[in-house]
Amino acid sequence: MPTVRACLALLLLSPLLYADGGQLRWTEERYGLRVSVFTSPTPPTVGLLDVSVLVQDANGKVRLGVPIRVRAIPRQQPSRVIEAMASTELATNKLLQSAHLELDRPGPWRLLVEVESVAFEGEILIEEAPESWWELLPWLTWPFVVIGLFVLKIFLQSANPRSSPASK
Amino acid sequence: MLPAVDAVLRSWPYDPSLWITLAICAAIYLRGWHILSRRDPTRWHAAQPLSFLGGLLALFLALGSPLEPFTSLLLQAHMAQHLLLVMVAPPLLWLAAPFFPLLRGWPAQLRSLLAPLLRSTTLHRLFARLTHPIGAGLLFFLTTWSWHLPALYELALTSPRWHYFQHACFLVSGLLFWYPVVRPYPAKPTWSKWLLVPYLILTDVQNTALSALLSFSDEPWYPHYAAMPRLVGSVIDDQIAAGVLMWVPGSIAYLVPLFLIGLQLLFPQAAARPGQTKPRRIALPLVDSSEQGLVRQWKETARSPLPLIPEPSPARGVGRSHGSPLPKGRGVRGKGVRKPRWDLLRVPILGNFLRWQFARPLLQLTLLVLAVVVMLDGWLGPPITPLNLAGVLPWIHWRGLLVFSLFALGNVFCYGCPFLLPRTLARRWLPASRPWPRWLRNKWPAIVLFALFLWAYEAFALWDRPGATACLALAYFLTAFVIDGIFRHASFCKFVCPIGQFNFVTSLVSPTELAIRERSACDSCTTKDCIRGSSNSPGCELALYLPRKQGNMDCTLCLDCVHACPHDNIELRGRLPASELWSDPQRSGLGRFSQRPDLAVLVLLFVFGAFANAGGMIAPVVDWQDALTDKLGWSSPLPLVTAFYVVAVGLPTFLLLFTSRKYVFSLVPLGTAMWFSHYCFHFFTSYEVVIPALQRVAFDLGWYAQAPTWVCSCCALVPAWLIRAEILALEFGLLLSLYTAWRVADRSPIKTTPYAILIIALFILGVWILLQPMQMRGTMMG
Repeated sequence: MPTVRACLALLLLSPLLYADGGQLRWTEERYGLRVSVFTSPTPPTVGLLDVSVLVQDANGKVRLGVPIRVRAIPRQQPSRVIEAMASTELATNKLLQSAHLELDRPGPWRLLVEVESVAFEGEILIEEAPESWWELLPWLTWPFVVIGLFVLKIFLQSANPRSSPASK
Repeated sequence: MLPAVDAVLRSWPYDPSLWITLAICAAIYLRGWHILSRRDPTRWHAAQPLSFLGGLLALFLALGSPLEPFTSLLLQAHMAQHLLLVMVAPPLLWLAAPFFPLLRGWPAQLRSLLAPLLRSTTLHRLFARLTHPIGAGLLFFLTTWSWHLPALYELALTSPRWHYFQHACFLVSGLLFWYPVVRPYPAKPTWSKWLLVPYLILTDVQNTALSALLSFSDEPWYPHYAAMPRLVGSVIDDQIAAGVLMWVPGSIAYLVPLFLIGLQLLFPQAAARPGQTKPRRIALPLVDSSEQGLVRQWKETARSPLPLIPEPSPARGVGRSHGSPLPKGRGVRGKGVRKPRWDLLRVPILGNFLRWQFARPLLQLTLLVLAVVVMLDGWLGPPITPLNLAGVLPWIHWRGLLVFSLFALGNVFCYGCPFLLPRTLARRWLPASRPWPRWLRNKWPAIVLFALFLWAYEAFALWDRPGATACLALAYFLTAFVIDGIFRHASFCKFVCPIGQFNFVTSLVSPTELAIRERSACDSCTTKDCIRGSSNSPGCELALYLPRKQGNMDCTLCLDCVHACPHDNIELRGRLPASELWSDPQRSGLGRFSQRPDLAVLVLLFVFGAFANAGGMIAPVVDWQDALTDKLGWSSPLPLVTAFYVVAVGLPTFLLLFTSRKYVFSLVPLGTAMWFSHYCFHFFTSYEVVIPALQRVAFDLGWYAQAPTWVCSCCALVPAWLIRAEILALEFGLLLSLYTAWRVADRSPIKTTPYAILIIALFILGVWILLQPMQMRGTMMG
């Protein structure tokens, strides 16, 4: 009994135990600014890319509210630029500022982060988006566990007719 | 406050699934505890719910507080999170003795479903071994040490799935570890309590060793944190802080219970409070590790229909069954003693509001004003959907809120229906005396209108025509006005209104239902005001006689019966969604569902219409329709849309109607879930569209000087939780539909199988539809 309850509790809690955390892409220090760039999801895939930026001074003190512009440029098509301004509203961790970029093709992309007119550049490899159903597999399969338990229940009930409603 | 500290304190992750899950757990526990505490207040005391809520709060702080976003930046934050999962939440949850309250908190039907599984001796043996100090201690030790190995810890930090698994391991091992220490009721261990002394000492020793290794190491253990930007101190400082956090609070967590248990063991007399009576124990085979005793108890337990509910107090006048110490189930409850139900009308504030005489007119008036504004903007505003209130409010907001309210509460829209307010006023002058024609006293007129609406919505892109939307609303007002001005009672609602029929079918899975409180009051009632009306209220105009009313079909939730009843004998009670479909009783004003082909067609139209309506706006279907239209050289998509609806809705309706009419009602939960998922998608991705539309109206009227924030006219990005929530809703629909089919088939697995296959196939189709790119209708992107 408690095991079943534990399983049910796990089923209920499964989405909660997921921990966040974008991947640190690079940290760079120039002109007294130390910039750390994080991306999410991991690995980055075609679709929405969250770019979060942490800005610190040379002593490591976090600088809040600095205007940050994020640009993504595909290596194969340098004339095309996707850009957005980062803001704390989009970031969960309010020490960071985030921008959402919709990247529509796989392959290498240049990522430019502009902080107070200082550009910090890195590269990111965008992968093909995985099939949605594969990502959602745990979500899609749990009802079939419930159905299996229900079938087991019927089986146990038929094996022990005294506990079945018909025998009462 | 320092800006950085302020920023940290504002870093709350947004995860509705966390709040909802914790709220559901709390609600189930509190309901169960409330029932149990009324029966045996000595056993179920107020500290238990506080402890349970404390445990949930610890989980919330670990996973939903500003701690969470910092776990990938600071090892000490991650350590604090793990300590909450391992050392704080589990003992608090166990101190709440959660087994019985959590079980009792579920509805009886679900509890009875679990009963055979929970009686399994194999599961009992397994649990007894896992919670024996040796098993639990070893598991805890292995979990703690293995997950702190750099390779595994790094794996968790780089992979969200492994991180989730790590947290699950910590929580489960924590729960198993603290179980023998707390021994929550009804635990009945057979091993000596002295075993807990080495159990806790050894755990503290291993905890001390691990934290010392971490604290005194000169090298960072985890390269992930070494690469992270430093927010406070160096990486070694962070590691030391994490080690100290594990060492000091960890040791306190083990040594305090050790001290208390030691006191109990050394001074057993002093441990018991003077005058304290030992609460009765119910011999349930939960944790008895003695297999013989366990099997014996199980055999005794199995004779009771549902041996999972503690026995009612003898003081309440309910005796024991055949001298067994086991609790009684529902089957032994005395006749005439009705279990008190949750009644929405008795809920403070909301209940008072609903019972207020002018609550309905007030809501109707509000919606009427909104409808008039929408119609005026539809005719006078720009014919661009996202800029016009008639293109936004009815198709995005109203539909989303409609299905949400039906799922969460009941038929709230019919309660506040604005179409009825003008006719109510006009009835002062109009005759409204003719009876509705006998040959039309069925759902066929509404079915035709509902089918026409579904088809026209797609064929003429109603969602993209604010002017047509306004005309549709006006036509609705006029039809309601004319029909109810000529014919008596609520003929329009019962026989004509397609929105009403949609609401009636959806409300079959609503969690509330209007019903009588006490049968005896109705038996002795001579006036029958609930159906005939009184000076206060017209009574039920939909011909639903409350003592014989079953379920929500045809109930507009107008509460006229509540206002009319002189005995205050009507409640809006909670119930299991879809439970009214599990049997086929004679229903007042309706007869039996199985003998109503019109109702079966309505349900089939509703179910397959849900899939066709959502399927009609996904990329593969739209592309296919466009390609076929081009290939055939048609200038209009009308024939193809018509063909699509005939095949997707008409054909299955026809086939199922003539093969298995009895079972079609089992599809209602799945159909409802599909409507819900679809409309919630549009609502949550496009609700902001109303902001620029309202600003534009205000600007046109000269009330607003700035340019509207057009950026909101583009729908928001689809959040990850939304697709999960949509699928979750569909899955609940699947399970409820399957269970309903099983009940309709008289619990026969063989009879259920074909319908189960159909339901699962529809579910798979629904999931496929939800995973496709969907047109963002009503937005700039639509």
